[in-house]
Amino acid sequence: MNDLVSTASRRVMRTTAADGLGEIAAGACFLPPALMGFAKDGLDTHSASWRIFNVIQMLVICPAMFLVQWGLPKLRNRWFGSRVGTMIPKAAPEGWSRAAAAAIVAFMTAGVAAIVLAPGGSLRARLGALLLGASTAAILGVTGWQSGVQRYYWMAAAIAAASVAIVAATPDLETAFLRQFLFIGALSLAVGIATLWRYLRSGSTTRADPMS
Amino acid sequence: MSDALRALASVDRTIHEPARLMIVSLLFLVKEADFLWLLNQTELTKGNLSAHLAKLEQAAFLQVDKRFEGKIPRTSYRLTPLGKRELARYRAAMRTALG
Repeated sequence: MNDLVSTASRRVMRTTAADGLGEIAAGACFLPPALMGFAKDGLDTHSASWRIFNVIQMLVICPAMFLVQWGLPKLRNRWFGSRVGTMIPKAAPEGWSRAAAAAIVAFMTAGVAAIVLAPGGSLRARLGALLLGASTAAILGVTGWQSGVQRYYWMAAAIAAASVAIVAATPDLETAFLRQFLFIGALSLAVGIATLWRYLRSGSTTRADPMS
Repeated sequence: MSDALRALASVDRTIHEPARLMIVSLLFLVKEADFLWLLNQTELTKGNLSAHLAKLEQAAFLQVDKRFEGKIPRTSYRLTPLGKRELARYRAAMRTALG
């Protein structure tokens, strides 16, 4: 028997994903670090400008992820609240589930760091780069399965295929990472904009609060 | 009577009604939602939704907050701890009864 809360959750995820804002936000998180990484190529390693560039890159990545988590629901309520209503999502899971999520993220980060930092040539570099593509595709696949939104499957397949192609063509880890970031960011942004365009063109534009 | 059937007999009838069950399940997933959001998610009519919300509020499963944002009135709903507990009890009873 399908649990009624998972069925409701599937429905909420599907209706929330209809506006494509999630993909646009993901694209906005992935694309700038990649573009900045390519722009850094012309600088001498460990020079003053190279260091400043690295700091700026981190200053873009970390707050961007936080802003997406915190700001996306607020943005969605402000832009589309009059059309589909407003809701405030639950905070992150509490107690053991939060501890388990933190442990998984820490474990994955440690794994990637171990692969990247350990000496051992291009095989480890390829493995590290492949891990980024595989984990992104896996997250998208699971989201697609949970929400029943078909486009997540296509995105997962495209990212997995591109990841293999990029890793095969690039022996150097940093370039492979940047190319993957670039691909994921560009794909998310393109899919998000197309979805948002379709969403804005469909149905009625505004509905007043019927309780008013 | 088996434990499974006894569990089924003890479910709360306020929550057992399909439309109210849908509302409670949706509110369980979010911190707070307004009337329009519930209307879109449940696809009930305004009157129907309003009546079910009133029943859930009466049973103290819902907390209603009416406020103004500028000049626009907003009515938002959230599950009370009692509502969350009842939903958890209902799910457990159904799982036991239906496997």
